Order: sequence, then C-alpha cells, then structure tokens
Amino acid sequence: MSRLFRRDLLLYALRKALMVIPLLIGVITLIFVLIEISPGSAVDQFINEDTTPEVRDRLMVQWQLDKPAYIRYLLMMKNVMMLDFGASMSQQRPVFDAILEFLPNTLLLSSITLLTIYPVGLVLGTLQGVRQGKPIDTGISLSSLFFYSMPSFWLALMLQLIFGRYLQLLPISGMHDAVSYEYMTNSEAFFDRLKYLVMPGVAMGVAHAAGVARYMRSSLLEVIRQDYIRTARAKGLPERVVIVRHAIRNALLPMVTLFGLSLPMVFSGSVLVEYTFAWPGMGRLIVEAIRSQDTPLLIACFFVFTLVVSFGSLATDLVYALIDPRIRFDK
Amino acid sequence: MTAIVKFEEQPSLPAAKLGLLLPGLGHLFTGSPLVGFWLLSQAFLLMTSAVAGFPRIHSVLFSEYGNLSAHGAISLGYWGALALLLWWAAARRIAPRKLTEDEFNSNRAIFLRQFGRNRSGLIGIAGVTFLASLTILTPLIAPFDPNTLDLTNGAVRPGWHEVQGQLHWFVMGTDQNGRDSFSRVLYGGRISLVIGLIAVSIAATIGVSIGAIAGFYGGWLDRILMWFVDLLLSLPSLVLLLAIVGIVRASGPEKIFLIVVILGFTGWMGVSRIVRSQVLSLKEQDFIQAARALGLSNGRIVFRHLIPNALAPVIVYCSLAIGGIILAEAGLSFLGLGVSPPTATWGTLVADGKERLDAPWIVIFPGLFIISAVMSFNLLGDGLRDALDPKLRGR
Repeated sequence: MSRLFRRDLLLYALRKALMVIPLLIGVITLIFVLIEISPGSAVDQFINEDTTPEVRDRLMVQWQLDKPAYIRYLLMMKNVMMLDFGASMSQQRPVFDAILEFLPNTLLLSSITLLTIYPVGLVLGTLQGVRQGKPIDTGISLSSLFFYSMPSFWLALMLQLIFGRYLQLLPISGMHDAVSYEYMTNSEAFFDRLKYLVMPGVAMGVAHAAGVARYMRSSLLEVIRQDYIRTARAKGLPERVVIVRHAIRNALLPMVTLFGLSLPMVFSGSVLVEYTFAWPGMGRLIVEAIRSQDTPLLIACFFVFTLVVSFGSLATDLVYALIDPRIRFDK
Repeated sequence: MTAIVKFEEQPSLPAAKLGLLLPGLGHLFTGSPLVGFWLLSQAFLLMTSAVAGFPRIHSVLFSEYGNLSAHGAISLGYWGALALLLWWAAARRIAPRKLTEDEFNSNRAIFLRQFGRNRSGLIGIAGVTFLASLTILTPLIAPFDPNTLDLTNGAVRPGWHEVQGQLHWFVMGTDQNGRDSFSRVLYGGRISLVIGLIAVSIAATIGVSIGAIAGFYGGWLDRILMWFVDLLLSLPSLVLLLAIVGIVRASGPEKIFLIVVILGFTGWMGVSRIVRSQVLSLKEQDFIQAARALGLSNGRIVFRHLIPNALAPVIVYCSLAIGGIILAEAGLSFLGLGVSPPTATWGTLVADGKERLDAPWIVIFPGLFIISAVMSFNLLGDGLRDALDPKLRGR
C-alpha cells in the first residue's frame, strides 16, 4: 500500500490539475476570438426578412449581443468558471442539460471502444513482434495499414451496407429500439443496447486498433533487443517465459502513454461516427452547435472536451508512474 | 588525387531490352520487379489516356468557345513528358551509367540505393506517382464532364448504358443526379490531393519556423510556444477543425482556399515539436559553434545551418501527415462543412452517396480511392524513414 501512496505523485497530480485552468481559459478564449472575428452575428439565424427591427433588438438584448465584445468575454468567463454555461441558442434549454444528456452516450461509446481495441491491438502487435518478418507479421502489418488508412465514416457506411442492409443482422442507426425499448425487461434492454453499440464501436475502433498493434510491435521489437532479454535467454529460460514475463511486461509500459494520447483521437473519431449512426452524443451535439452558431453550447462542448482529455492524460501519467517505479516527479 | 574507380549501377542484361517495347518490362525481368511494376503502372496510364483522350483531343484542348483550355494543355504536355521519362528509364536499364567512386558514395546515391531496397517505400512511391499522374491526366482520361447532370440516368449501376442513343461504358456507375461517378472520382481526386499537398506545405513552413525559433532561442519564448502547441495538441484535432471551418463561413472557391489554410494552420504542431528537438540537439554540435565563432548572424545560422540539418524527419513526418490531411478533408466534406457542392472531392462524393445505400457504388469507389491515397502516402513515409535513418547508413 505504501507503494501506492507517494507524496511526489500527489504533488504532481495537484500541479497538473491546476494547470488545467489556464488550459481551459486558453481554449475558451480561442473559441471566443474565432466567433468574434467571423462574419455575421449569432442572431442572424433567428431572423428573416419579415422580422421587425424591434424583435431583432430584443433578441440582441436577450443574447447580450448589444454589449461590447470584451464585456461579453469577461461575463462569459465569469459564468463559465462557475459552471454556468447559460441557455443554448438552438436547443431551447440550458446548455448544461443538453451536455448532461449527450455526454454519457459519448463516454459509453468511447469507453467500450477503448476497452475493446486495446486488448485486440496488443495481442496482434505481440504476435507481430514475436514473429518478426514471418508471413503472419507481414499479413497483419498490411491489413492494419489498410484499416489505418480507411476513413471511419466510410467504414461505417460499409458496415451499414453489409450488416444492416444486406445481412440485416444489426440495426442501421440509433442507440436503442425506437418502439419497444420502453417495454423491455432489463436483460432484453441490455442486449438491445449492445446490438446498437457494435457497428459504431467497430467503425470507431478498427483504425485505432491498427495503430495500437503497430505501436505495440515496435515497442516489443525495441525491448527484445535489450540486454536483459539476452540475459534471460542466456540463463536458459524457456522462450515463452522470456517473452511473457520479461519482454511483454516491459513493452506494455509505453502503451500506457499511448492510451492517454488516444482520448483526443477517439473524441475526434466520435464526431464522424456519431453523425453517421445518428448516435446522440457529444460529437453530434458539437456538429449541431457549429451549424447553428450556438456560441454558449459550442463553448460548453469545448470546455467538456478539454476537461475530459486533460484528466485522461493526468490519469495515464499517474498510472504510468505507479507501474513503473523508475518514474519520479520530485526532481 | 583519388583514382577514379568505375562503379556500375547494375549489370546490363539482355532482358533489359524488353523495356523498349513497354517501359517496365525491362526492369521486371532483370531483377527489379517493384520498379518494373512502378513503370508499368505509369505506362498503363499513358496508354489509357491515349486511348480515351486522343480520339476527342480537340474537345480536351479547346473549350466550347474555342479557347485553349489550360487543364487540357497541361495534361497533354505531361503526357509527352511522361512518355519521354519512361522510355529514358527503360533505355538506362539497357546501358547503365558508370559512376565515379565519389558519385557512388554521395549522399544522394546512398539514399537512392537504400530507398531502392525498401519494399514499402517503392510501393508507396509507385502509388503516389500513380495518383499524381492520374490527376494530371484526368482531362484526357475522364469520359464525361464531372458536373453535367443527366436525371434520366440517375444512380445506374456500373456497366454499359445508353446516353442519347449512344452506348457508353460507365466504369463506376452514376450518382443520384446522373453524373458519371468515374469522372467525378478523377476530378475529385485533383481537389483532394492538391488540398493535402498545399496544406502540408503550409503546416511544414509554420511548424519548421516555430520549432526552430523555440529550439534556438529557448527560455520564455520556448515555454510560451510549447504551451501553445500543447494546448492545440490536447484538443481533438477534428473537433477544432470543425469549429474553425464552421465558425468562419465562406462558400464556393473561397471555401477550398479557406479549408487549405485552416488544415495547414491546425497541422503544424507535430512538425514544430520535431524541429525543436532536432534544433536543441544540433545547436550544441561543433559545426554550429564554428558558425558562431565565424560571427554568422542568428538568422543565417538558423536558416542555413540548423534547418537544413533538421529537415529529414520533417520530410518523413510530412509524407505521413498528408494521409491524415486527406482523411480530415474527407471528414469535413462528409459532414457537409467542407468543399461546397457541386465541386467534387472524395469526401463530398462519399457524402453524396450516404443516403443512397441502395446504390452502393456511389460510396464504395471514392472510399477506395481515399484508402489507396492514404495508404500510399503512409508507405512512402515509412520507406523514407527507413532510407533516411542514419542507423542504417553505410551498409
């Protein structure tokens, strides 16, 4: 237990957590500046040629667009720091409610995807590393390059075509059965949800699993060249023990870092996949926010993304330090 | 004075003469099968464009009002240059050049030999040059205008179809508005590839400058720049891209310009990190100390001595990044936020077909082209990395 509690880790975590604040300010400022310099005003979407100037002025006051930019910036900063994102312009409800509805769906999809692709990628990468240069290595290399180069939305459409349209095994889009979901028992509902998760998960994960395999292969090859592997072989350990106990365990270390880097990539991927599968998640929300120039919603989306990504990377740093005692943060 | 030793690039074999018949055959049967396939693929394009384009050369070269069309002229000129190049390569296989020892040991010759041994690099460069030739020869190859609607022939499957009393072969069918998918894929490839190429050059320019400045000057400037890089890297790149493209609105040709610039401005962070770390290690080396001692200005040291020596990993990174940029542009266009219709890019073509899964050929072919382009650039990048890696030098 004493190994789990380390003072330097705690301090590091605290410092890193505090660093999130300037990061958030930076991101929100960036988005605000972008919105300000773009042509047109957010109010334009509510008005047409029949709108009277009075209505327009009232809308401007309602969204505080009559105030100068720096005042709006400061007001918005103050509100955002108190987690008050205001009302959404396009959703007709508080931004917070919209985020609360959509965020869990994205987290569900991305966590299930991440939890499946890592084991698959690690096993494939290990196979390649152990059989370097053999046909199995070349085969996996080529097919992972193929999937790595594939646009996720195209794969999504192909899956819809094959499994949804021709084989009719899986539902084409949505998150659960639109009609009968309300009347299902718990286990039925679980399997229903699972059925709707398969295709978005595969579309999002395949390219990433290919990346994981590629990385694991090179990591394992790097480790196998080390002296301690030669020592392990020299003292007569069976090859299986050398690979499993000595090589793989050390090759897994850099993979933890990769996991932290995966989070932004998975979120990026979720935008296209959620859009294709009509999955009600953050990716779709952000596309809608961009289409309708919904400033408060857009800023809240970026706030959430930054927060999730930063704490994800903090968590990976800590896990890395826990499993690799050579890492110290107090120097 | 060193003795001039003659090195042959490769032995001259009688089978190399086959190359004069069809460029590539010579290489294929004299021990360079990959180079052979590369030349054969180019020769295949040469013949396809001749068969498809020369019978209607007048309409390729001149617009309907009788003006010379630049695209047509360029592709015809390229056709001639490519033919010369291919037969020159075939002829050189028959009579290899003799090299002096210095030429044989030059960096360029070593790089070319390393690269020539590299299977993935050769396949990559064959793929990239194939797509490049295909896009330049497009006016000769494409059988129809990419934007001409024919609503009587909407979403027909690949095969022979009658258009205005004449039978035509539709290689990839037509889309829901009756436009020929093959022509649209070819013309769309031009936009997609050019966007990738220009955006990557913008990204590389910005990245190299910022990385070199941060690495060379260090201190607070370095800290601020790298904080900004970390900020941009910690955001999901596609989401950031979407936000910028969505917020800054434009339409028509301006939109393509905007997308290129934005893709460039959101893709430089990786390059700047690489260049920074290169510059950090290079600036401690003797030749930089010597340049300092000679009294060279900072600007001259950075641009003439540091950056050229830091470029090799940047080239590798860029060829890997083009694939990512092509994918990003396709994603943007797929979401309807990219290049505006009716201009075709591979992404908009996939987007066009996503509601028509009953006519899957509309979606399948542009997707396959995206995959082959991205794969080629990735293979090329891997190959370049292996060839430029100093650890493999001198073998």
